[in-house]
Amino acid sequence: MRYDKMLQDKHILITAGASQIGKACALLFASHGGIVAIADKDKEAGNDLLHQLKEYQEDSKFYHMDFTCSDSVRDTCDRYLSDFGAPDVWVNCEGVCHPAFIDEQEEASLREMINLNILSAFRIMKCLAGPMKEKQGGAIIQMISDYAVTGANGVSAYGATMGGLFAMTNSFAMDYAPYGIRVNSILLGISLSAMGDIIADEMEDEEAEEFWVRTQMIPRRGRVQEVADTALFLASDMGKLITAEGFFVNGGQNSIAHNQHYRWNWRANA
Amino acid sequence: MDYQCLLAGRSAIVTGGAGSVGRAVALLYATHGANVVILDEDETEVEKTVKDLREINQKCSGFAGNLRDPESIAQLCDYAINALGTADILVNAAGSYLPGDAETLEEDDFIAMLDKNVNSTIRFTKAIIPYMCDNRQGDIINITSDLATASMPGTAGIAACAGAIVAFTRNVTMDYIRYRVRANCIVYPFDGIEGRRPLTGAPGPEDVANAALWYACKMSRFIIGDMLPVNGGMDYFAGMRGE
Amino acid sequence: MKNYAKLLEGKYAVVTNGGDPCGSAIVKKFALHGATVAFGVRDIETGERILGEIAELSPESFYLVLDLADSDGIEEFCRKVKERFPLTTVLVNNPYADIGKTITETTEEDYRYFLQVNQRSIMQTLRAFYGPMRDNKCGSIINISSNTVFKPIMGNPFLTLSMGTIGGLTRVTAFEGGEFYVRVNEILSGILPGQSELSPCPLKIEGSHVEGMADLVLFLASDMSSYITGQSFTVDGGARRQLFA
Repeated sequence: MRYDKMLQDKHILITAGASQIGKACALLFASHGGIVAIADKDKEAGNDLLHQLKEYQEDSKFYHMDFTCSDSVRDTCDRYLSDFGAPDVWVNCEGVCHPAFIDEQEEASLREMINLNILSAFRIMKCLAGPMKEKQGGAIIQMISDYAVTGANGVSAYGATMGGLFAMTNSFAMDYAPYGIRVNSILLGISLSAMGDIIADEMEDEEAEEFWVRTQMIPRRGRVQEVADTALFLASDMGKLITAEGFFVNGGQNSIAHNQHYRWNWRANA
Repeated sequence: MDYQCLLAGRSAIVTGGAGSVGRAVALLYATHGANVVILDEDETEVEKTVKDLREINQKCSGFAGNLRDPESIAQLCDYAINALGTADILVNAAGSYLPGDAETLEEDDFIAMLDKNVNSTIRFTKAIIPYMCDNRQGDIINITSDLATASMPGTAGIAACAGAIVAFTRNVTMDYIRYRVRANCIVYPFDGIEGRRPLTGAPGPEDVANAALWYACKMSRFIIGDMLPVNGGMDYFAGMRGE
Repeated sequence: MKNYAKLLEGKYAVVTNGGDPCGSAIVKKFALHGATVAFGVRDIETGERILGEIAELSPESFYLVLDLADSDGIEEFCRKVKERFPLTTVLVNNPYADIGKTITETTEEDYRYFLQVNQRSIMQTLRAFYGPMRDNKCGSIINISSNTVFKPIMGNPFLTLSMGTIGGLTRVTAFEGGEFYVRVNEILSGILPGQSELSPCPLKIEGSHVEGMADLVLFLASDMSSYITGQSFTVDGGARRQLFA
């Protein structure tokens, strides 16, 4: 394997890939020789990205897809399969967060989270599983919030959908391991999620800086490129032994116990 | 603490109380002095269980309704609160599971499964938790499958439901522990999976009920957001050397 | 954009046990990516053989004879490496103690041997190399333990016991090193010490297993994983998440 062209001629599908993390993955994968296709609900951002991707690879494509509608998902997947055949790599970045305490959680936002976070991944998997199985190989990467395995305030229902998605991803891994398909999750910390943007916007710079120092081992915000690098590792042959595993990209947030206080005291005494 | 009567005078709501696990939990709680209300879908099954419960404690009752519908759930909760006056313990044992992987499991079945397991747990918790906050005490026990943390082929939908409930338990307890409302969950191998486990034999509903009793009483008052696997160490089992 | 063909260009790396199949794969992978490697081996022949294979790629690399059961020997190893390397920024601990005995068969000596090789050796190398990494705000430490921590195998209690301590040490070092950008991670390897194949697992894998392991070590050593610290990665083809074997 050439380490500067890890995904040479591989077919890659990135769902919800027109912005943020999906975009970073698309550009990195394309620079490693992959043939990248994007599916997203945002037409404008998708076409912008397609323009950039064409500089690497003429065959790149953008599909418009509505994740909430199973017909639209099936239609898009069928079009992808007839254009490229079964993908070697599928990266799913779809997710939506409506934070609320559970007694104030609205029925509509609960339904939307279940629909977009769990069901959309299931719908796409349903279309891609058969062809990928026939191909006897491939890698699937699911972007998940690390609330799936940690606890936090005000995200009960969101955390539930993420926990469900994580367990479902691991179950897919067991189903398709005998066919050589690797299924892994990347567990994103708060600084890489939409919450990170909110903190960066609403807090003063100094205050935000202090927040990262207090809550994370690595005292800064994460970068989308760092997520893309991890996805590249899992997508390429570098990660060939690894399946059903969650990769935390969160600056060590989940391994700190009582993060607010302990580190603070330690720093004050040092 | 009276170890013969651990839940004396407490009010417990058991969803899915006419199912095998829910029924075992309700009977054990009643034996330990709790006033139990069971909520389930099938009317005749509910009546049968209530009859058994009343032989232990006259104050027990049960209601039947659709557990997939948010309005019907709100109504059931109203009935339960009227019957009990308040709520100290909520056990979410309602659930139905269908095996199948991404290809064989139909989307509609999956949606129904999520509704019955995950959404009903969230909706019941949402309806009952304000009473617990007012009382400054409460114990929520969610019961689900052990596929939440360990996986096996052909169980995508079950894993999704179980994983969601475990993550929900952990997150919800973070929000309400300031009102002394604890949430914990119990995972067990659902019917029909025969696996090799270090401890021989399969756990029955009574084993799950014992764990649920422990989480509901004062013995576990410092345990929150926890997951207790009642599965004979199945997920730790890697096999004998040389096998 | 980083150079993915030479991920460790100009870096100095230490691998405590470069002699077994997994260790030698790691040494070769590091050399391929432009690092200068110092590695311990148990006998001169193995050392010469591996050095011969990487001599062209990384002429300054060297080996030292090292028995992880000998604590004075480890101190000596660290001292010699520090003399020859200006700054070590990658440290790989891959201890190897493994004896197939049940609890009743094991003796006090076995216990001491396991703790020295699988636990104390890591503490000693950390003590030697962590300080300079922290002062220079740059470094990656990778501790390789075993997936038997989560999935114990019958008849090897001390392997699980001694490997189980590595995770805690990893997280606490990561906590300390975080603000100095020293990253510390643990790999729970499905390859038993000294073996070259994974224990049975659900995943169908083509090609060499130790290569795959070396690739993960490379990923964690390089800047590709610059936001990952304090984590434990299971590399066993999905065996850990399997409900039953």
